[in-house]
Amino acid sequence: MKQTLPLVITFVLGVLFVVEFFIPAHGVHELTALLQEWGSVLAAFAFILGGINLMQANLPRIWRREKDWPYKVVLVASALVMLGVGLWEGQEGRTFLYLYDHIFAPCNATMFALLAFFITSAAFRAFRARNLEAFLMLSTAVLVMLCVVPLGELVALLFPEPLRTTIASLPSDIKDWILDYGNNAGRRAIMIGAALGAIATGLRVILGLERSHLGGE
Amino acid sequence: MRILALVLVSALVGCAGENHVAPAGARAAVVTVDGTARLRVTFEMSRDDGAGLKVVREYQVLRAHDVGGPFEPFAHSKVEIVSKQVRARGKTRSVATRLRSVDDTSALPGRTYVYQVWALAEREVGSASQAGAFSGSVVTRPVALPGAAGPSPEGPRGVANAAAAAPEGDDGRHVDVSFEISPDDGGGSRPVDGYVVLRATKKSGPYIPFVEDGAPAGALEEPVDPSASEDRVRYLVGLLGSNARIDPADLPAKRALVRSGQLRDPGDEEGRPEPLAASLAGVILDEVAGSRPPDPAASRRRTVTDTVARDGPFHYRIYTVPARGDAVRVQVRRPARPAASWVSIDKLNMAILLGAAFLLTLVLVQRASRSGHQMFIRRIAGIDALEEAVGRATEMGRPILYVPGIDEIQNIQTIASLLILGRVSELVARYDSQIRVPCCIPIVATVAEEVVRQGFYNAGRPDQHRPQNIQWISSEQFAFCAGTNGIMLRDRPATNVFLGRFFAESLILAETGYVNKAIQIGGTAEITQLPFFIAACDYAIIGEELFAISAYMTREPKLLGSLKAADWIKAGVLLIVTAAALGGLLAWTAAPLSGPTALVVEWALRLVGFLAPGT
Repeated sequence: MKQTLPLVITFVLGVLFVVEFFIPAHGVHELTALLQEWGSVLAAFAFILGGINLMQANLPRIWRREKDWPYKVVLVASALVMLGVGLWEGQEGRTFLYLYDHIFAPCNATMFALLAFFITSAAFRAFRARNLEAFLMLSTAVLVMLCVVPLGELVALLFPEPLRTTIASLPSDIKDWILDYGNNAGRRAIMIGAALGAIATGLRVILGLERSHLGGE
Repeated sequence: MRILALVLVSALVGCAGENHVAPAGARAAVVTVDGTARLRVTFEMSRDDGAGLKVVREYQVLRAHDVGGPFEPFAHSKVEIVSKQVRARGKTRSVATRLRSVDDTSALPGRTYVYQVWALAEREVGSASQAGAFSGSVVTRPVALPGAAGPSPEGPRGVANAAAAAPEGDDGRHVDVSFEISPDDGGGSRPVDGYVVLRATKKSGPYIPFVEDGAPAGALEEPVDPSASEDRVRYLVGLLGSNARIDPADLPAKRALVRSGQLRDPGDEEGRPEPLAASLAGVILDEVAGSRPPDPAASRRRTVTDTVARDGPFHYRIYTVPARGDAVRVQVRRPARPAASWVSIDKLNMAILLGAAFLLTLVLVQRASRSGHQMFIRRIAGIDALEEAVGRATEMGRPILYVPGIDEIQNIQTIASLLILGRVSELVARYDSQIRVPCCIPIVATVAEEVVRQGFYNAGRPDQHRPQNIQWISSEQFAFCAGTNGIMLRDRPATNVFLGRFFAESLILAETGYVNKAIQIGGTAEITQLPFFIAACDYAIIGEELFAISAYMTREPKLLGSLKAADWIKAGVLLIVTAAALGGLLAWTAAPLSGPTALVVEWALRLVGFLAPGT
């Protein structure tokens, strides 16, 4: 029963949601919309569980003064302050917005800004020409980068006038060709494969073939 | 159990009481604008506007000569926000209030008017909405416009050929009201301000306004050709000159010009030339050859779509609103009922594909279960490395970090990741190690905890499971990223597994893991993040491999059968794409096709047209 009931619910609702996509009649759509609304409310209530989880995971560590416990004090205190102010003032409250705009938003932006440095370090490692494939990737990347920066267009100035006009449009043409044909073909192949994989996974769950999450093999 | 309790609570909340919304109050008064007396209606927004599940779409004002009605549309100014002056810290600034106002621009002196203000509201139910079901109104006191009463001006003639019917292939919630605009519209002595359609459930009324889907039925501005899209008109004008007419006999010559590049696309909005698709040029040239001047009657036809909440029948009145005086109404003769269609012909291609996938999966799974023979599955290095990585973590006495992406639970990548988490946690439990799962979405954390608990249980070590290791950090992308990085740097996990849907944080996480010298396995079907995982992780799982991991790890025949079905469909797609590419190439070369080649090309193009309409 512990396995059968969830499997039946998954099958019935899974089939309902798939079939609903092909039936325009509003009655069916309304039923699935209602279920989705339940899902949204459920997800909202899960925030309470999330809050409990946060406290369960961090308060004992603070209490026991485990390693790095001051970080957890900051986390718990920040969560409680924002929760308290938010409940008291609402989302548009002055203090709430002040805390959000002056503490949270700059921290968020800082994290995002780190991406630039991480891209540089990752690109440095990825573009080392260790073998033929890596060399091809490096040359393609350099070519595309040159074609999108103004420096690439300046290369045309090195040539005399009759050739200059032809060469000036060359970087853009090369970049477009690489992106439209080589890159796009690869992207689409991955996307088609992923879409079919997603359908297969969906069917496995709906048909009850995949039941590892229910304790079965 | 906790999830069941959540479902019950959400059902109770979802069934909470419903009531109608209406403006909080309204009044009409005489005001003087530029030395002329006018009637101004001021109303307060509905208390539900901007709060709760009921959404106020717009406010509409109707007018009558006495409180008993009938209330009808009239020409008025736009709804304006009423502001008030607030003085603070020595400065005066304007602050918007919840009051709104409209000026009656068509009232006649010496007449008394009563106004009815409607808040047109609906309640959002998931992705569907119960349009109009919650609209409500308030009525002002009568007020007279000062001045001597004169004769009423002669109004414009009403609309013609009015009809109401359910659209084809509809979901059963819409009625199309169509009509030809007044003969006096578009110049003349009796100018028309616009058209308003009111609806009633009884023929005798009351008739109430509704939010019209699409463009409002305004007065005539300039005739347009509804059959030609903006892009095509721009293209044709640039390519062939205005008023282009081509003799069908000239078509081959024109096509040859296009293919040779002598006729080029006039370019995009910024004037940059665009390469011309020969097939598109052919289609457009055909259209031009057969084109006729725009039908004047078609440009005078209007259709208003009403989203209705119940079965009907619905009665409609169409009002032609003049610039001054009262509106002229035309009753739609036959009431309309919305009609629900049960089959969507537009999606038949997808239904066939999905049906094929379903049948293939069933057949191959059945065959795999009966024969029990081991199916071939190609090697996925990232998964082969997983067991080794878990062993390494055990030897080093460090935990394994598993991040199931940052998307919601209903995303298929998150679902796939949680299924893999079950297998991984079982493996971790067998090795007597520990797994840490930071989550970005609370409900994902709740499900992940159950999945990990089950994994430890399956391995026969439920006592080893530590619930506090499955942690919700934050629903904010970069806050989650910072928290997970903190775990990586403090707990120094020996193995990091990133499987699921990731966005900009993917590289920040993977690079932090690299700095930490952990073995990293990253996988996603998110095409923009794959390069980051390939660059920063030791093993990358690309696209479809993410959905195959669960089957790969267990080698269970049933699961492998479903993988085989996906492979067969992939082979079919490959065949179609190849046939279409070859067909397109042959058609493009302009060489006249005949015999079997022409037949293959024609059928390939038909198949592609069916499976992917619009390509």
